[in-house]
Amino acid sequence: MPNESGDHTELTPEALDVLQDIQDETKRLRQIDLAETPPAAVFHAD
Amino acid sequence: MTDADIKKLTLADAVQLLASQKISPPELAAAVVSRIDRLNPEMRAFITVIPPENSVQHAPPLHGVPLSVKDLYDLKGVPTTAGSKVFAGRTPKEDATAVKNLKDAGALIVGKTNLHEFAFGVTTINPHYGVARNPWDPARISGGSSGGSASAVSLGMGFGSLGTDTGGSIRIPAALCGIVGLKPTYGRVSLRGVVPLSWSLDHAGPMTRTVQDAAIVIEIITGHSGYTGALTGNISGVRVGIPNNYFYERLALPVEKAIDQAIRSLEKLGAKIIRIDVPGIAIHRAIWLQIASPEAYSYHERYLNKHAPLYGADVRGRLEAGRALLSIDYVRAQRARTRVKEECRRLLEQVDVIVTPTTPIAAPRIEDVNKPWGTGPETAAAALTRFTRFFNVVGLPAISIPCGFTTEDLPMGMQIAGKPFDEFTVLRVAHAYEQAAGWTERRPAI
Repeated sequence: MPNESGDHTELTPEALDVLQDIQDETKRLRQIDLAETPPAAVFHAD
Repeated sequence: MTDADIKKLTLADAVQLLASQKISPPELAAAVVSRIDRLNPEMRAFITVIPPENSVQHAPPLHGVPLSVKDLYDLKGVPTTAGSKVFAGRTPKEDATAVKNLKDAGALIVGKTNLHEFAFGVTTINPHYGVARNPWDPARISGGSSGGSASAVSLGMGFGSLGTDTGGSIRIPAALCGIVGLKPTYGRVSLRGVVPLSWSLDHAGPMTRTVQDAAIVIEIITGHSGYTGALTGNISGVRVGIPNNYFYERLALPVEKAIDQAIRSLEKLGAKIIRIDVPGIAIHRAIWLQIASPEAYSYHERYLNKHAPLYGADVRGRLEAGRALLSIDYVRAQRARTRVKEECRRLLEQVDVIVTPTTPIAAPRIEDVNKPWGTGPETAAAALTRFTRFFNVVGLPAISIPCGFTTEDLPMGMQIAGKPFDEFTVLRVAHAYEQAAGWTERRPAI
């Protein structure tokens, strides 16, 4: 089973740069203790 | 109606002229379209121009005033390109709700404006439809992603426009082009019929020459009244929060001077200045990236599977990165977002609005957007979203209004954010400052 969604599998160099940036930023997010905080409501009524 | 007249008019002025029959809707439309025809080949503000003779409307309250919409909004019978070749041939059968509300109120939609491809970027250097150039210096960007809308409004190619804002895409180009841009509270304006970038972070809103014009448009597209009535000019006692952290760091000197002067003006108008610490700053960019990237990829997956080479390289890269992220980080980001929103709600018990620069720099030259500015290493493009995306994460209403000009005659913007669904106070403060400062009366030379 593929571990990535989508039919095309190669990431472009631009995508790899973006991915590196996101992963660097996410380190800080993973250090936060969110206790029992629920996710934000994703959708609002029209 | 001369070109010079068109440049001076606000939306409110134009509506008054139409309502009093001093000019007819076809006359005004013809003058605006003539200006578009003359300026657009260089400025690239519009992707599609709509011949007015097919659709001139006279209904009140707008009486046929010419407006534009970003080419992310569906307009029945007119292609929605989203600034991309991927959407070639996509012609909607219905209007987006916000567009329908404008048309029902008598607006004449004269065109669909250029944007950063699929709204995923802040430069509007569009590989398919050209660079939407800055009205104050065409060698510079107009900002993005609603860059064409900002350029059009600034140049009098219509008296207002609808933009969208996922990380600053209304406020950034408004600041760089010297106009007013309002990102309302998340959920306040319908996104039905608007091509999404990130469902959790997308906002729709007006881009206009003045705060009053923004209030007029927001009343129409939301169906809620009271915004124009909130523009009392009185902000005595309003508590203005000035962040100690983040929002006043690494500013270009002209921006630093302009925003300092603007804060002093607010104080002179009777506002109470209160120093605050804004929560969640260290993680807000990660939250935004972890939400926007997978949501954008989710929408585009079917198109990328078939048409990946049709995307511009920058946008394709941003989209494809979204498929390599972990679902647990998406949930973590949504949970962290809840926490930061709650912390902001508590902060906004202490103050009524938060004031920051909209961007730390004025419009960069087209060739400089991906180069470091100042002493680096931050690129100019990265700097542009530094102060805006936080307010997408927390969903608070935020407006950008002009707060001065550099020595090169480039506009700079002040951002005013408020409590959820309290666009009234945001508009009131913005209007009072605007009236005192007078920056919105300046027009580009073009």
